[in-house]
Amino acid sequence: MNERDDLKAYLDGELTETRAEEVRLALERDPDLREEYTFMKLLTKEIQSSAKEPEVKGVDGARAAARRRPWFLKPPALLVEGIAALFVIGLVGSTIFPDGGFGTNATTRSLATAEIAKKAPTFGADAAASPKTEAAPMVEKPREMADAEAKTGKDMAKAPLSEGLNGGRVNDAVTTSPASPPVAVPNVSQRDVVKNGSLGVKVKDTKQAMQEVTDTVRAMGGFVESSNVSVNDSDTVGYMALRVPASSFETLVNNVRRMGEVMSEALGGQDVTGSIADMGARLKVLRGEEESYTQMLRQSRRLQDTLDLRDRLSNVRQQIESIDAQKRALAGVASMSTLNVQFSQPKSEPVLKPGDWFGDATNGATKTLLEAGRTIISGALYVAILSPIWAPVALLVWWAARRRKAA
Amino acid sequence: MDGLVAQAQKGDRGAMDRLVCEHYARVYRFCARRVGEAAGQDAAQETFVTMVKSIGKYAGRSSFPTWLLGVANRTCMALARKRRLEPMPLEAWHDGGTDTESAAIDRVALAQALRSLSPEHREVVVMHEVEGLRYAEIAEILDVPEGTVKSRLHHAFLNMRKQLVGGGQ
Repeated sequence: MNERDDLKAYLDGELTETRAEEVRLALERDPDLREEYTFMKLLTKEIQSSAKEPEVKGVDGARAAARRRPWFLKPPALLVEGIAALFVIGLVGSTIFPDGGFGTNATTRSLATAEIAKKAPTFGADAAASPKTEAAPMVEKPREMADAEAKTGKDMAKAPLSEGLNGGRVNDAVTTSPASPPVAVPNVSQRDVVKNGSLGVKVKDTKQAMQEVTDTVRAMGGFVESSNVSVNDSDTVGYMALRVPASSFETLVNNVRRMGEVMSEALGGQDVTGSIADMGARLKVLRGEEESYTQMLRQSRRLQDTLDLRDRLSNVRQQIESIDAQKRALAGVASMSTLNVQFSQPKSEPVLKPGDWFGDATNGATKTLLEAGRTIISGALYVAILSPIWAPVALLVWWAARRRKAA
Repeated sequence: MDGLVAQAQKGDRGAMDRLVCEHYARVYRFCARRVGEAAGQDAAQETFVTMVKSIGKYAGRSSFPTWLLGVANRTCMALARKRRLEPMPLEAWHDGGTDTESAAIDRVALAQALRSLSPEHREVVVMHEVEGLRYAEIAEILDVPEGTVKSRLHHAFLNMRKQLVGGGQ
């Protein structure tokens, strides 16, 4: 490296010892370098001696300025900033959550689910009330089955999962969130269980879904108990009551779940094994009794005894028939399960024509402008109306700040 | 870190005031040499306002006066841009004087040589020769490598020598 480049640094004492030594030796060797060094030293001294020393002034102003708080930290500004921040938070909040509270969005889906669940008990009733309801064939329920369902309905209400359907009607359904795992269907292969449930499913095409379900149910050896479709403001809702063999109930539930987005689900089961067994025992006793009376009747010699025995035998046989019928009905109900399904089809989004974007953008911007204006005016009204609360505080703070400044 | 600075960082307004008093003269001269005496007062005041706001950012990597002069330098640059002031005006820091007979180098010629320097060269000359700052401190204030400071100073003196004696390598 050229020593000349480091001459100034050498003069200023800014070189390392080694480098300074090198430059010093170069200076001893080279008279031109030495002459340059001398001139540099002279120049340095001359610049230093000709430097101006400005007279210091304005220290008080600087002290006062340093004591002064920035305008945005002064009390009046803080108050205005606070109000502005609240206003902005309100504005942003009302834009993000136009329906009200901050928690609304989180519960919207649950509410939608609950709404479907509320509709569930009125399967068929809604359709009847709707002017646009399409008539659907109603399949009449066998009488004995209906009776048995009516009878078992009360018991089902006590069962843990019986909040679903009782005898084909939906109670206060326990709705499950679509995100939650599906309710496990109890394993009932060895027992007599009256199973029923309801599902609310959002599908792309309600009518197509209903047709698919009808085919599935028929293939399972079941039948469609009732079915109707309601069309309201381009929103198509279909209700179906399906009866399938108990062994196919879970398969049907899974099939329906897969058809779309599950919005509500309630499944129930009533174990009637005990009731059937009880009826069987009573039948056995009554049949034994019948056998005894028959034997006694054969051996009877007196007319009065014969008449009494026939009455008793007749009475026992009536009881046997009645209990036998009930037992068969209950077994029949347990063999067939009911699933109520509600298919809903979301409103189809209008298809934009290529030229619609301008109009849509204009409408959207106008709407946003109006909403923003309304929000701003609402905010200003709040500030103005609440001024009796904040204005005295603001004045007090301002007055205190002035006093402090004056002091 | 200086105890006074630490106190000021905790929000002690008394310590802040003492810092102003302690460093004002140096900061004012530094500013006055860059933007002139009139604007220098404003710049110095603004420097201390910035100090109050930003003292929390001072991490002690350099000495406090060096950090403060860095703030002052940025303030002066902003003020010069805003008011369209000439950077480092010679009359702000160099006394041309009339007593040229006793001087080894003619002051008028020296003034011309100094005026011929670029603002960057003038800046390091003032900082080193007039304000007495070390190369490392200048580098910190200007936010440039120390080698750059050394190089600028070397070339500034080379240029002045050329101007004054018409020589140099």
